[in-house]
Amino acid sequence: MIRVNRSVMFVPINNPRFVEKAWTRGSDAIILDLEDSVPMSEKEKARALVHETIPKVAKGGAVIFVRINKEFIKADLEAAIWPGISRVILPKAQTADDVRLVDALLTSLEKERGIEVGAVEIFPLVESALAVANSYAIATSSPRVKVMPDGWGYDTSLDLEIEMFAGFDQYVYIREEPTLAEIAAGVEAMGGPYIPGTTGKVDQKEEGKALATALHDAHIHESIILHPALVEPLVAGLAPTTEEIDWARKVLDIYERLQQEEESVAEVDGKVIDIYEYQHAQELLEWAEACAAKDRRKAIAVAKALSEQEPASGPSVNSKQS
Amino acid sequence: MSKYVRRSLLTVPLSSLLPEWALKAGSDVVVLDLGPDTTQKRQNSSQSQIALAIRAAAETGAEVFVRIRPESTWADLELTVWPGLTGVVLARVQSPEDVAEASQQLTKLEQHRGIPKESLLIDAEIGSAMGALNSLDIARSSPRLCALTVGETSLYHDLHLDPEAALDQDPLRFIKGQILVNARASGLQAQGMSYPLSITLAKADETQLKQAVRRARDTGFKGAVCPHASWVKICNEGFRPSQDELAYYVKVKEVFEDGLRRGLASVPLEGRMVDVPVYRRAQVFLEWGEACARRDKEKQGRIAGS
Repeated sequence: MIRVNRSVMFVPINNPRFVEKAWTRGSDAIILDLEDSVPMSEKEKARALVHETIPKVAKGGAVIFVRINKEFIKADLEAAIWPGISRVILPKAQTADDVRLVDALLTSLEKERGIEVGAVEIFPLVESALAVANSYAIATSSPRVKVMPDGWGYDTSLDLEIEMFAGFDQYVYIREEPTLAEIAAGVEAMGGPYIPGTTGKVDQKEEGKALATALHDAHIHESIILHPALVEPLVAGLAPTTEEIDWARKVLDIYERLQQEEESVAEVDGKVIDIYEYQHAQELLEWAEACAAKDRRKAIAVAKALSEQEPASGPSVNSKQS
Repeated sequence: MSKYVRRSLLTVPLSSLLPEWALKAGSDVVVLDLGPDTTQKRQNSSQSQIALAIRAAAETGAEVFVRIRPESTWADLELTVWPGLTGVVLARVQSPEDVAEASQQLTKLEQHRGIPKESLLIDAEIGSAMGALNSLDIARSSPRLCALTVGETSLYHDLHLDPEAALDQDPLRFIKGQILVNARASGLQAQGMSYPLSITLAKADETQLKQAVRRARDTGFKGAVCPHASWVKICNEGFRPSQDELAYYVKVKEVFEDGLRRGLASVPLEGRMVDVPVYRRAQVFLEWGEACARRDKEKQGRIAGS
């Protein structure tokens, strides 16, 4: 099945206000954060919250991930790996061994807790110069690594001691080198392109739209976000448009006809249609279908959650009780 | 934070009597360069004269390096390695072996010339496609290494780029990123980057130079090679945080520490999010600002005292 995680929204697990509202935001995926949004003094408390928080935030049909701490890998995984967690975000992965350690711990926890072995993905964050240099080794370190980001981010900017946003593209190599390594390793690369004018303000809906357009143009299907205002632009913007779907269908038709005529290239409306365009159209249609299915699952989940919230005495849309 | 404050690396032609402009420029580092015309230079400068020149440069408060050419590594080292030197710049390094070889020779010279053992540093200048491809291995090849420097002029030559071509973007930006990342991944400092000024060597327009330095800093370079004394002040100022930036980092620090007292490790500031890495970076920038100010004071003291 194609993963549909257009918006991957961080939720600080120690903030009850954010946790309570998380399911209403419409995000495809939610990360319960045990790392940077939790102060050191609250790590233990945060860990203890994971089990009960999973069903709360999953009510809207989102899949649930957890970001653990590099310093507390074992304790965090033991507290966090329960049915319902489908991905571990491993911050500050520096070497292949960092990933292998998480892999081994996951395997034993999966066995212990009735989760299919290998089901939990590992998403290593590339957050330092060393990680960029080792990105191929990291990408090939475990079959659990299915998707990986590029090296751009706050921690890398700390490692290089530079500003995150300087008004030009400072991160050419840091974005491109891990992306090349990931594609070579057969891992889905979700590094984002440079977007001029980004300021780092987290709640900018307009910036969210620009981000979605840039990602969509680069055929990237996921984006990690810090603010709920960005959910809507990403969920909408990373799904194919009706025009794209119509065009893809047309391409399939034309190409299949070409094959019957034993031809391989045609030009339609000034565009070249060949095997690449054909494959791209196929992928786009599969992606569109997966997005639509995800949207339906979320809608059903939200409807169910709302109906359960209705007070029993009040007038309810769902009066058919059996 | 960076171990060294080396924002400006002023290239000075090596001669028995260093020019006045070089002694007064106020650069963090003076790189004595043998230049292309070697036989002539060697005839003109005896070893003892070179030893004196190194001492004179060191007395200005600058750290002194000499630039060693790959075609004459041993001869250049023998001629120029004397007490007072901080280290050597190895030009056009291609492989870890180049560094290992020079390092062994440095060990011998340290022994014979009263220089503390293993004290001389190596700054490896990467000036070829081969050097860039090997830059991670090069960066890990010796404990003497302190920096990788982008050799832009050599890279232009090796990659057959046209220095006169007016390009919108720096054609070396990927390769510079590679050198930078591999340096930093190995705990070294990255230096260089002043495209296109370093290539054309045109008398630098101040605005243009400031912009180039700013871009280098914001990419992660900690200093740049200065082909001309007029670059020094701009590099010294450009590679450290501005007053406005320092004021902002103080605010970041306050806001985050206040958040921590309230049990939050992620707090908003002017629409941006301040969390652990943002806070740490503010601390690093504040420390870097202080280190630069200390270095400037130290050099001023030397110049005033002389």
